[in-house]
Amino acid sequence: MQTPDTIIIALLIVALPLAAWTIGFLHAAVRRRLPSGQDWISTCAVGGSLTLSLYLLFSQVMAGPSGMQAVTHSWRWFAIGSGDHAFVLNFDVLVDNLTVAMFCVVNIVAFLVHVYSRSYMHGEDRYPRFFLHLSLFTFSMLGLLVTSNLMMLFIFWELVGVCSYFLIGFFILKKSAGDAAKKAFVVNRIGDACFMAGIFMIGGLLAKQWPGQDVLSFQRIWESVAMLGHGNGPWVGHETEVAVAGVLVFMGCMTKSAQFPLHVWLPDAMEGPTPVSALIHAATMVAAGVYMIVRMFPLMAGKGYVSGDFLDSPALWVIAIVGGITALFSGTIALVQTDLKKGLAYSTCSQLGYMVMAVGVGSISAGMFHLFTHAFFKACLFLGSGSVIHAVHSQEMKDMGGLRAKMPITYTTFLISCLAIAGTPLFSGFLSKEAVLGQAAAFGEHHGSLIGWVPFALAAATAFLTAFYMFRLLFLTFHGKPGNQHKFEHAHESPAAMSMPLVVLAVLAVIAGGIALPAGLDFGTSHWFQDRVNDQVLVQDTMGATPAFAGMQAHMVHRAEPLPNANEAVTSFHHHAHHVHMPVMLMSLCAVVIGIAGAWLLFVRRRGHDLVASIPPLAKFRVVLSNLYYVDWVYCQRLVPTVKDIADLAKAFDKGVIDATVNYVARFACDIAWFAGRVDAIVVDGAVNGSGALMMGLGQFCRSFVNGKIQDYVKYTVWGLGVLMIWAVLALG
Amino acid sequence: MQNSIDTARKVVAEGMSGLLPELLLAALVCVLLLADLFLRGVKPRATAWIAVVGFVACGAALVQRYGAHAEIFGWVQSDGPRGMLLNDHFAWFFQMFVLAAALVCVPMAMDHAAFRSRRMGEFYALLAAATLGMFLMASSTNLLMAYLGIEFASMASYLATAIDKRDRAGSEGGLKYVIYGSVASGVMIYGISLLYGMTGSMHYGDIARALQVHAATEGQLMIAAVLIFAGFAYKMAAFPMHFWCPDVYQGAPTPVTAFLSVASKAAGFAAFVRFLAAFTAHDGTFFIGFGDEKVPASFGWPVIIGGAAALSMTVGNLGALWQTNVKRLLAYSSIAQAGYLLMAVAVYAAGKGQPSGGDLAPLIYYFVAYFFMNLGAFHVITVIGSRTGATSVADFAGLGRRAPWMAFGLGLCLLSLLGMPPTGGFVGKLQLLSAAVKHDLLWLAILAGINTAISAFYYFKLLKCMYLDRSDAGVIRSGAANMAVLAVLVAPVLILGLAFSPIADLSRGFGF
Repeated sequence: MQTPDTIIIALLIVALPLAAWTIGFLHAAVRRRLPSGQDWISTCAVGGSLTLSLYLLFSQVMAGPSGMQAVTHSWRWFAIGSGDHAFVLNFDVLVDNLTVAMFCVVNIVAFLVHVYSRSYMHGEDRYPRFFLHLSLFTFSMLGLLVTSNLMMLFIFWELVGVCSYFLIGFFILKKSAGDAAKKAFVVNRIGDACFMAGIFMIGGLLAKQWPGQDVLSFQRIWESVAMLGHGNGPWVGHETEVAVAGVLVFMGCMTKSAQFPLHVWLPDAMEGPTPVSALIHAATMVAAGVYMIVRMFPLMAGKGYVSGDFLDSPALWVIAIVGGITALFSGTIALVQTDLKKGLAYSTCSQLGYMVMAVGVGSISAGMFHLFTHAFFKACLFLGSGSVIHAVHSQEMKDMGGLRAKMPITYTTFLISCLAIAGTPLFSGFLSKEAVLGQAAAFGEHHGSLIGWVPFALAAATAFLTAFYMFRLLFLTFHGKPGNQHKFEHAHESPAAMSMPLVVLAVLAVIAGGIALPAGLDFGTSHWFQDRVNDQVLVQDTMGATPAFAGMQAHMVHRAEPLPNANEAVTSFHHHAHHVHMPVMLMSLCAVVIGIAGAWLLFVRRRGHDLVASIPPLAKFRVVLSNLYYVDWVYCQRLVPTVKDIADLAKAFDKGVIDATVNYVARFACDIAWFAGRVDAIVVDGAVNGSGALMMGLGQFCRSFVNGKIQDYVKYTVWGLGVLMIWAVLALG
Repeated sequence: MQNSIDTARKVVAEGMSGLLPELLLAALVCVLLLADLFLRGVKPRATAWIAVVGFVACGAALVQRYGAHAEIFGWVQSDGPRGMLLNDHFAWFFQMFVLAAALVCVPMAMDHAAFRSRRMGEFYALLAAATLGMFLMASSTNLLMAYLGIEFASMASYLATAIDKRDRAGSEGGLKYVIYGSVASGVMIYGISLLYGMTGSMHYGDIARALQVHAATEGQLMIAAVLIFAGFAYKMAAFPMHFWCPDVYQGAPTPVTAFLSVASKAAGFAAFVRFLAAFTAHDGTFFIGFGDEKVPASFGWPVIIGGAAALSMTVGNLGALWQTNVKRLLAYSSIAQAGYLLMAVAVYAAGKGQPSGGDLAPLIYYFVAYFFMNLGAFHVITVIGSRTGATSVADFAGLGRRAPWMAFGLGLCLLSLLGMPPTGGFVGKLQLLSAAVKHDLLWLAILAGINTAISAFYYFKLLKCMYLDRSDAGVIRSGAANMAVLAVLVAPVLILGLAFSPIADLSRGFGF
């Protein structure tokens, strides 16, 4: 296929949901209401996008040993100023393996959520508007994936943010929904401000190297970092700034992907309709942060990026630790949640922590792999929870229990997804989690110090917790005796429109791991997914012949054999990775077995016996967990009042000092203006009015000759001829 | 004897063959008068169709004559022909112009109250007669012929003005017109006699040759020139012969006013430019003084015409400031427009004998624009006036709501008369001013600019009245035919302002 065709198909994939949104919007603008068939329009649009995405996947990414050749294109959007001082913004487009794979994930989940929502949201107020928002979100998310310009990415980033705001607060009559939407929006502002600062920092430095050019494209950023590895380029002498810019950009990811301590908005976002939780707050938008740091990986890796020796990069350390803490932190909170969706939300936080940590410990491949598998099983879990909520009209697990018999399809798919997220062999989660843990362990082994093992320790502890709390949710919801007999009796399996997406997602939750099945029998060898999504393929192949990438090393990806020309750092890392592989896999299996068994013991076998209450330290800890480690409390009771106090102080300063100065200056200007006004009124207006009056006077004079008397006309005519003759004589001299 | 009779017969026969349009017009006058006798009070509107057919036939004959260059009713002498009429491109343009104006006035008159019952056929006969007079003016190449043409056209105009005997204003206007016209004729005849005394001929070519061979004093020439100019200026309604204009324009039925303001003015200009061209024949130099003191001199036409132009536009614009009657306001406006047009003639006279050459293109272009904008304005005033009896500016209040298309058309014509883009008036005025600056008449250009600013007052007064003043009066139905005429007249105003280069190119082809 020709390069332009790929670009056009990619843009078409992005444009279809936008078209659906535009149709609805224009219809609303003209007819003052949305089209009644907006659900069909939106669903068909995303269906079209899905078809085209799968076409790209099968025709491009499946072919060839390392997928498709990346294609790029660039359109000038605008340039402010000219020459070397111009700020240029291009709409850069990059379509590679990762873009297409993400297209597929987003579109599959989005399509299934659209189908699911037609049944789930049926009869709700403002039903067409829900689909309008979904279309806008899908467009924004796909736009975010297709662009390769950091500023354009930021624009789409904000668009998905605002769609998230619309959809969290979709039930506008519920105050808690409005509050949650506001909270999500405000918390995201913190990260976005840092992200923007990071963009400005990068743009400012890069503009020195490439004045008047589009410096915010991924290629330029990658190239600048690669040049630093060779000791030249704009970052030389600014090594600290690389780390600072990396961390600032990562701050954007921290809010979007709900990383500790900015995760507080995500659990509250569960106030939105459940399909929204599945699409935006589990599978796609929250993963955008991970996607972004994957694209910015060279920046995070910094100086050592080209040589392959980057595991000491400060930005990566921050990412690894934040990701690890988030994973464990959210995992523990998930243990005590009584609200089904909130339990899933903390689980999402925890899994996002996994992905972020995987990038931090140096493997974008493992991070993205976990993102993909997680998208399917977590969407399935959320839609399953929606199905349950639909049946019992409650989100509290105390109202559930014993639903297994009533809702067999929901139960089966939920069980499959739980097995997947717990990391049970033969399910997709097993392979992706094993990839993350393996990378973290290799990272620890490579560093050799205690602190190097911190990420792995956090991740491993989380692995136990994950199996435990997920099966806790499963058992409390579907096993045991009904918590609420009345609701239980009215519960029933959801219609096909809702259960079919569950089945599809459950199937994907099993087989999605297939993309990472090893090429050979040895688990350490490279596999299909890793061959296509690794920083070498994504960055080096895109950059092609750029000189800065000439000596780039094969990276510390999870490969069996390093490439022949690898340097010592890379070789030794591969060696460690090989070593830790089997132990990690065994550990991971233990985690699954222990976690599930523990949950079974507590919530099936000994259900009704509160074991925790009998152990005082655990009971105390449970209180801490129920209060979410007091993070929200600190924000609301300590941080926000402090900020408000500072704001009051600033306001007083503004009023007392700045406004007073401005007022004084304004008063002075007013006095001058008054004087100028008088001059205007007397001198200028006088002249203007005077000339007008003069003209009118002259007009009266001219008119007076035509007085209606013909004899006077003749007299004046003779005078006129005389005037003309005198004029001629005088002028001719 | 026999020989000279043969020659005369030959001349007449040749002349007649080249005069088909004029003959058709003459026939039309007769046919209309006869038809009027039969149709009066029965089917007066049928005469309109006869008039249309006649004018269209005349137009076809005129189209046939395009490209001719023949001097007729003359004797060929060794140094050139001596004729009465010269059919060339210049004459053709103005004849076509006059004919088109007459044709537009036919539907306008059908709509007007003064003709509704009895006078229609009569009016069309007068219209055809006036048109014939103007044809002769446009192609005259002899002062006598020019004078006869003026008189012929004037006679028909007098009658047309006073056609409704019951209308006091019309009768008064007609009477003043006659008296003033006779004075103007007298003045002109006096000038002609002076010039004839100096040169011994009334043929333009002979005058030019005589002026180059026998010298005249500048004073003598100037007196003759100013007096002859006065005769033409009377038809142009330019200073100092503009006094008749407000009373006649106001008193005459509006279609007559429209015809006078456009066709009569154009014919006056055409006749004068012809005379002027002959006067400054060849390289524009002739001799002043007697005997050995003869020296080549350039006569001061630019000064005389420029002075008249300046005074015309000033008197017209200043006079218009106070007017409350729409037709009277447009009368003063047309005096001012004559000033602008005279400026084009002054530029032409100034350009004669200069290396860049005299160029009539600005005059032609401005006339094309003037045709549409002035007739368009009068058309709206006729339509509105015949339906509501509106005569004063205040009567047009709220027209933007009551008759939106008519108001739009009138508004556009007024903006064009003022010289605002994107209208034909703007492009025309721009060409005039740039030509004036190019030919060292900067003072005139500046004066024209000031005058444009003054004129904005009264044009905008009418515009403001139409669009900003409120009125409770009802919607006016204008009729499909009137809408069509409006479209035909107003669309070119815009076209001339937007796509002007083709017309500007064409207008260069109608000089000498």
